[in-house]
Amino acid sequence: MLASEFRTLILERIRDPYGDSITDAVLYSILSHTQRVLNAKVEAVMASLSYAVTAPVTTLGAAGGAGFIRIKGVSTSDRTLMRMDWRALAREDPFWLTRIGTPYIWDLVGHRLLVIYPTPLASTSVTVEAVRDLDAVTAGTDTIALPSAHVAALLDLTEQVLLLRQRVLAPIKGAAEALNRNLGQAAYQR
Amino acid sequence: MILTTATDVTTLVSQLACAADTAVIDDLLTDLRRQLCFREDGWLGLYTASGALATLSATFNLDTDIGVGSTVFKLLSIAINGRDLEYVDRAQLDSDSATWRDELGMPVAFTSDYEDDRTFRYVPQPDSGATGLRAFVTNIVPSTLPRYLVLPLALLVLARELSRSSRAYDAETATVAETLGNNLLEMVR
Repeated sequence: MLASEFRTLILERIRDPYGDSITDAVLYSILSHTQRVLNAKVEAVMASLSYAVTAPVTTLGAAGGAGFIRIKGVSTSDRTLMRMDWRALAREDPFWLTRIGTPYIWDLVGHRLLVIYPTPLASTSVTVEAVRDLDAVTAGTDTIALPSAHVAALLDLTEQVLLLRQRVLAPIKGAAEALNRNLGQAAYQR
Repeated sequence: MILTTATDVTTLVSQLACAADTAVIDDLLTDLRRQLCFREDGWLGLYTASGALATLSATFNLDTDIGVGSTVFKLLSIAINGRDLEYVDRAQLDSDSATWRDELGMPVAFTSDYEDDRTFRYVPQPDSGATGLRAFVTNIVPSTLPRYLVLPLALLVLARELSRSSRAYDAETATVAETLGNNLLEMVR
């Protein structure tokens, strides 16, 4: 779906079909954020990123221009690494920071320090499968990155933010409940 | 991971609330990020690995020894000579041995001082000179933040802006913004 098509749908939802209350720039900015957040939840658009690992801990950044939200798995050329809590790893092997060998464990410290254990002897490329941090939507000709199956939920979520912006609070609960149904997660709304 | 600055959050808050006070929004955001570091167990914080420490003494201090300054929020782990030191509660050490402070050897654990949790003590006290030190710490308010946090943080900042005593006071909208912001925060975690 094109962003312009989404714009038409969402403006109808908030009873502002001509977009009098919001500029396209602001609308697409909010859409970019809601799309990003929703993808974090549904994990529909993934990214496969490569990093060269030379130390037990690697600071992750955007690779190949693509950002990530949540790492789902790490592999080397010949094996899929197993995730293990780094604190448990430190208890199991107090010398984990200096252990050398073929990597078979990964974890994250915080949200962007990748732990690989044991440390490879030479620089090794690891592939990180992660939930993609979607690019910003800036124009009507841009494409909504989420699959069409999630557009309804994206409409619900964007509607909530836009209604909040307009201080039209009464319908927000309905939009939140619709999002619950679309996400299949009744516990979404407190 | 694509990082952005706090400016993106304040810009979005302005887009969500006309006539938002930029200076106040900046303060609210700084305060929120600090609180998130506590609430999320440092999840939002930028983790840093320190360099080598030339010499070891009986204690080490986050501000002066690890060299990441006074913004450090929490020490997660420390290692010397490649060995990860285990955190031990000081009361436990006192109950186990009355002389633990005087014991010398290669440290296998560390504990914190009662009165100043920014100073830590090696257990046992190091008996050798130069060695390597590495630590994982969190920064209270990192200069950057993940891009996917912009909308949740903007909503939470907006909630605070609307709930404080000012001309923009709007308790009902603030409540909705806080609920939505917290829900979105859970979605990206």
